[in-house]
Amino acid sequence: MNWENPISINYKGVTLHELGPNTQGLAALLMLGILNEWDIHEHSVDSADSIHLQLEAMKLAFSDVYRYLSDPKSMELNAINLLDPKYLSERARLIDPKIAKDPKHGVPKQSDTVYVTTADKKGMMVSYIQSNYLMFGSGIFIPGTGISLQNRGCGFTLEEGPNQVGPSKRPFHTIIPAFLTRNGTPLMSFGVMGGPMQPQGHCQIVIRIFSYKQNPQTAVDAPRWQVFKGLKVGVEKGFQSEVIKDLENRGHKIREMNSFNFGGAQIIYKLNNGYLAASDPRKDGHAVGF
Amino acid sequence: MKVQFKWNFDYPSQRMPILANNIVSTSQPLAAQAGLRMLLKGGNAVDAALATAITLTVVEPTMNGLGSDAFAIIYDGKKLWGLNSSGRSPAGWTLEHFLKYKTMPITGWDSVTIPGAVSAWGELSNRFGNLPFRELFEPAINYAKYGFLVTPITADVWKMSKSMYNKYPEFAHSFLIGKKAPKPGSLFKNPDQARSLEKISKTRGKAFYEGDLAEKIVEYAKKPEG
Repeated sequence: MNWENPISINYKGVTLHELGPNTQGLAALLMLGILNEWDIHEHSVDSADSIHLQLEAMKLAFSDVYRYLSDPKSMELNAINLLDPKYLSERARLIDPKIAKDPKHGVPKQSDTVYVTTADKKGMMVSYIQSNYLMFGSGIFIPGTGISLQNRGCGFTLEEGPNQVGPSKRPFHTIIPAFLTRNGTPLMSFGVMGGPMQPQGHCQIVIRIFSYKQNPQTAVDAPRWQVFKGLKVGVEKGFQSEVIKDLENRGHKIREMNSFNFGGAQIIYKLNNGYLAASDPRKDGHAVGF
Repeated sequence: MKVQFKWNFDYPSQRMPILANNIVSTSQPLAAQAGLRMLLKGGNAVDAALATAITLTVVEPTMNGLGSDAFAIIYDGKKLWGLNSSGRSPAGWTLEHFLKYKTMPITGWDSVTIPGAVSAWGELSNRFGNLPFRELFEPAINYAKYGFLVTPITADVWKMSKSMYNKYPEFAHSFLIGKKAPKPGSLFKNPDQARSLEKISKTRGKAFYEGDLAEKIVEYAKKPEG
């Protein structure tokens, strides 16, 4: 366990903060950093043009994350280097606004997580995430204790590379709490549960609220997409069929999937007085307050 | 008596945001209320988040547990703090050790890294908490000891998980009722977990890493069937 400074990127007047490697938080920062080079708000929300740009930026972000990210002690470069504006604009130029590409990215395994966000009247805000990885974890249950041990070790790979399994090393980690500030003051604490969905969910929430001015609950309710390997894309029910067809014409291999695959989000947004909280209808929970 | 209705949710339903000065938002309602109880008795956002997170290990065991990892970003009124409480691999995890596998195993001891969640609870409470550590555990211990009513989506995942963990006999003992996953609305108790939570609460987490819970973990790891 250690304390560290989050890493961040500016997007549309706000700053998104994520934890650095060994977490995949970098994927969300890279995606928004790439989209900074495209005026996504000029395309209407949930249009094929808008979703296409998001999918392409996400795949580029994942291709770097899968190439470089691991326990920082094994990484060949510092995460900050990838957030260099010059590099991000080079990456952004690889996007073709009409054709889906495969930048040979990877995506993490599905996983199961809980997320909590809290805020109090004195201004303290918490973004917290906890997980055994796959459902109950490793299958190791310690007799007489109710302890289920996680299987986070399968975040490593056996192939050569920075994330190859090794002793006393942290594996690539999917679970990521997120936080937004505006001009250095706190604005929003949030998270999206669900392995590979997490950075993809962070970006979709941020884009909906800050590029499309949706309120946080609507941003949570809205249908989600997620990229898989190659040109495969999963979409949730709720996008227009013409939009799906248009995306298929650009080369995306689209599959509509059950909502269960699209994670769960919780948000607390700071207002001038108090807070607004949103919670995900895909989960059992809710927001409560007084 | 059996419920007379189906646990299907067939229509999109509008959900409204909550507006308030003190808030908890999470994936399970009893866990959200556990955090709210901390805020009501003078705890701060960190106390609330911890009580919620600890309760989630009981009421949403399909997604996390006492052997989880955890991460947090906290705004304390002045600045942002990042906490990485993910565990490292055991010292014996050399590449040679994994030669027998084609890919990293998903289950068994060779998938377990040192769990960090319990240490995160202690550290966050030490640095930021207002309430005594033990009080953060009260809702979780009560739900584990006397039971809680299982929520519908959690029950779905529970049912799905059964086939994956059936080969581990301890799974049925700790997390099934008569070899079955609990249905929505059924009462689920985990008295063993209640005792572990009590030990963790009394030792600020030490029982898990150095005390008798740690000993039980090590002992079980030595058994061939473990």
